[in-house]
Amino acid sequence: MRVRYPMIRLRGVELTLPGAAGPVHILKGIDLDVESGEAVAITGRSGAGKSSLLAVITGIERASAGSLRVAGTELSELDEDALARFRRDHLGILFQFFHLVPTMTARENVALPLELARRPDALARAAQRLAEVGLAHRLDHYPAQLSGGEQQRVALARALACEPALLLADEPTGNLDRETGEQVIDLLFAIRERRGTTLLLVTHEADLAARCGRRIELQDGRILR
Amino acid sequence: MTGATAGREPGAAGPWRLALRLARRDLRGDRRGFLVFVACLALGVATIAAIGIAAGSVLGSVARDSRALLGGDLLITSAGRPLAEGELAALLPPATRVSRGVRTHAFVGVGGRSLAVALRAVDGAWPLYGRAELEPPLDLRRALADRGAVADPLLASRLGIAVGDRLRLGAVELELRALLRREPDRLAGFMDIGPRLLVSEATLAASGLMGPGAVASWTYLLALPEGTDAERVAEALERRARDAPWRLRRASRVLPRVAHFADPLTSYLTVAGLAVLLTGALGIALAAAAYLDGRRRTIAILKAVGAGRADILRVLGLQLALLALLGIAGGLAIGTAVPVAGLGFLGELLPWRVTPLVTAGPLLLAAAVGGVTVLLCVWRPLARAAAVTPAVLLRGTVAAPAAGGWVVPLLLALLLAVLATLSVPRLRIGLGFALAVPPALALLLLLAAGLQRLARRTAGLARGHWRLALAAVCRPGGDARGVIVALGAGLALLTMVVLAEARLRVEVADRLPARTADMFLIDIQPDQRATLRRLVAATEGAVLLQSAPVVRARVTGIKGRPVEIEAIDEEVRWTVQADRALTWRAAPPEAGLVAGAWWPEDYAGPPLVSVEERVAEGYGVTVGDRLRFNVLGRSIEAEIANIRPRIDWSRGRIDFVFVFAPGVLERAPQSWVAALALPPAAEAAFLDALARELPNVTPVSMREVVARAADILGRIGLGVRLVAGLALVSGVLVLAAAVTASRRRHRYEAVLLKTLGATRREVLALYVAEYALLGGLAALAGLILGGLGAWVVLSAVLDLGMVPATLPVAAVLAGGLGLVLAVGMAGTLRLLRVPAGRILAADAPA
Repeated sequence: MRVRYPMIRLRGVELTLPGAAGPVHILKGIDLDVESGEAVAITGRSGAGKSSLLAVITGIERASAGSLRVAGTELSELDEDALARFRRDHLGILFQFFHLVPTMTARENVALPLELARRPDALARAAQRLAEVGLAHRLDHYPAQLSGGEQQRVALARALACEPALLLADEPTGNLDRETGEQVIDLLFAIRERRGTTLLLVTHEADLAARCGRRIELQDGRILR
Repeated sequence: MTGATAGREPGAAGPWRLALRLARRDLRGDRRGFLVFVACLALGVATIAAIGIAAGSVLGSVARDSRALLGGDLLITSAGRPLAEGELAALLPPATRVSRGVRTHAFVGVGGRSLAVALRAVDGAWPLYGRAELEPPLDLRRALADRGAVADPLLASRLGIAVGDRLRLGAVELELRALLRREPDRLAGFMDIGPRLLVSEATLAASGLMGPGAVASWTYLLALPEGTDAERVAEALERRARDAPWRLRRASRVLPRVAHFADPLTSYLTVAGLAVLLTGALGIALAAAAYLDGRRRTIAILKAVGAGRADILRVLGLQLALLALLGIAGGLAIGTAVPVAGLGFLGELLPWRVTPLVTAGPLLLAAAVGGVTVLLCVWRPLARAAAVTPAVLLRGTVAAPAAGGWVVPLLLALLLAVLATLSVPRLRIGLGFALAVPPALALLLLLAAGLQRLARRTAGLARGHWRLALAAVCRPGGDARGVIVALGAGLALLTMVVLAEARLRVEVADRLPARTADMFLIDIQPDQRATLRRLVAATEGAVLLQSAPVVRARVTGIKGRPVEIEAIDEEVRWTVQADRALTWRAAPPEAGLVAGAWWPEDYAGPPLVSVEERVAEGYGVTVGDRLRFNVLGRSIEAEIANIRPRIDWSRGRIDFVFVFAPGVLERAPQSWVAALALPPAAEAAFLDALARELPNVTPVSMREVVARAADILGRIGLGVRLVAGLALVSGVLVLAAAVTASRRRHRYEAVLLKTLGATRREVLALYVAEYALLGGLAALAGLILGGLGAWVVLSAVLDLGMVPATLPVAAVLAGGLGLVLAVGMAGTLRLLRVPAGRILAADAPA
């Protein structure tokens, strides 16, 4: 009989990183289930472990203990390259500071995951994705030539380029003014709803968290509620 | 599977094509950092390639023109007498062309002045190979006909005469018809004393110089018929004429002999070239590390969106390979162009025409050394870059990833050492260099670390700019150590060269004349000794210091067996390769004996010989062993009676490797040599008297010899200084790399200081202090290592000791300091103009 797993299942996940004054325990026994198509906000104060939880779920950071099953894959069994391939095939990540490659145009930045996935016509597909986020007229602009909101829209187009099953966003409006931030978020939710993408959103903004179907609060490395 | 074709959709790019595309996009950014990488590599590769091409051209020209350089396929030289009619013809293949000539020393006179010349008489067949270049371009036969002469331009300038003027040679008056711009077989008489004068055989006969007692060599240049195996003919001649009074030289042996002299110089220059590359290697490593560290965010982004380690390595590897190719190709282009353009300079130094010869060998070797150096420099930074985690995107700073193991870098260093050793013609010098580099580098690193530690301790005591400067120089993880090591290496090399040159100059210019005779006289006939004594007595201030009889002979047997050249130590092979001067003496030497006993003053037994220690060791003989000599056709077997201490030829005294006991050589045809003390003011009058009364005696002025040696040393010194200077340029490039790498830190610091209220002038003063300190520490490291290196080479290897050379060394170090300040400030001044605003928010150094 085939077992059906949720999109994300964490059991007893811990993260300990080395620090100047000794090891720092960041995540302390996280249990979490996120169903496919769900939109979940992770909130909490600065230093609560929100971004670290995101890092563990994306395989960017390796959990020190516990089990992580994401999109049907047990992450603790994957090596560094397998994790990169997993991200490429299943995840889209949106960062607070956009993290676009400064030497690449908007189109090339969006094409990057498509090219790495060996998709043909990567640049044409990237142009389509940019059109979806309203940047059809900015294809050949470099990040430095774009506004903050435009850069985050390019980053969103890149995160969704390979049509991932799971989108993870780390304070996506944290570096934008309120109005621009809202535009980006509207766009994000519109596309997510259209595609049925699962969303895990790290934010400390209550309004933004409220737009998600579920909210999880972290405190000192533990899920409060 | 990332990087492979699995999961690839039709029409998608393969992993390498994708990597190339990404690499190309990524290279659109700031390219200034690459400049140092490419420049350091190009400079090192160019230096090694240039030296290789130049040496290859010199030796290649010799190989190509070896018959012209010798004058024939074979050259037979008979000292003292011409060969009898038919004596030679019987030994040669039919249709062999022969050119007969005579070489001797003589005086020529114009008005009251006279000059010792290297006289050469040639027949109508000369030259058999090559061409004599005359100015004006006359036909040689016409130029020499009817008492015509052709002379080295030096002769004309010394005597103040021009083409068309007349000069006296013995009993005839000659007309100077042309200047000899190039004598094709000049190499065969390279060590001739005095400028060349070329006449016909008939003119020489008419001059009366070839009377009884004349000291001359008869030369027979042979051009063998096409298709004849010259080696077989030579072997047959040598077999049949083992004890003949003449000597045979082959064109095929010209190259090894030239290489024997050229290889050490090429080796030292190549070593200096390798030092340039190794100094530049630090720049390559710094530039690569700075570039790769700057790519950390991009690498993290690539990994976050799905790139694997192999993808990253391919992208970065392709970028570095592209830069390396650029540097190597540029280096090879410069390394080819410079010697081709600069061969004119070499041509003036050498007695043969050097034409550029670009071969694949030196270029491939330079490219290989450059390629391995790049691999060695980028291996660990590349491994570190590929290990960057995407977590850096979420948390800003992440501990620098590990750089991988040392096994591959160590293997690469070993490969580099092997390649470096192979690129040096003399294995011993190459090996010495390869073995000296690790301890020198370790010492330099220790010095840099020690000086940094000293600076850290002093930082607490200093104030203001100096405290900040000291802190910057000792900052952990900074580039200061790399800069001190690279600049220190360049300055050390230059200091070493300056110190060595100063020592050699003292040896040549000061000490040599101070402890030797002013003039040597050779070819004095026994019956002319009384006349010579009279002439010396009549010259004010002249003193006859030494005189000795000389008999020319060849060593033909050692311990009862014919001489086998390969069995003799390389250092003393010269003693069997040509006729040597022997003497005899009854009195024991002042320096004593190493082994055996001196013969009684009235000794009259079987032949005994005394041998110099180094030659005895080189032959593998000792007291009681026997040596055979060919003395003008007569074979003499002598027992070694004693071994004399090594002769210090630099003392400029008359001395002999072989000294016979009395009673053996007295009846052989002989001449005398003498050494004189002669004040400069008396030289001209003495020479005129000598030319008048003893025209066959050849004077050798030590002042001229010293001047010529100093001139050659100066030219070689210039070459070595140039190459060593390139090492300093490499060091400066490294500094430029460090300045580029620390630009972000400096920009942030400058803005921060300005925000806190520092004026531009104060910020400027801080950077002047920082670079002055950096330059000072590099200069100190260079002085210590360079001084130590010079001491090792001069005292331990050359056994010369050191002389102080304060001024040149100070100039080198001050120049180094000035360069550091200039390059450092040039890169920093622009930062002062940057507005504070944005930078403080976004540009805090990681």
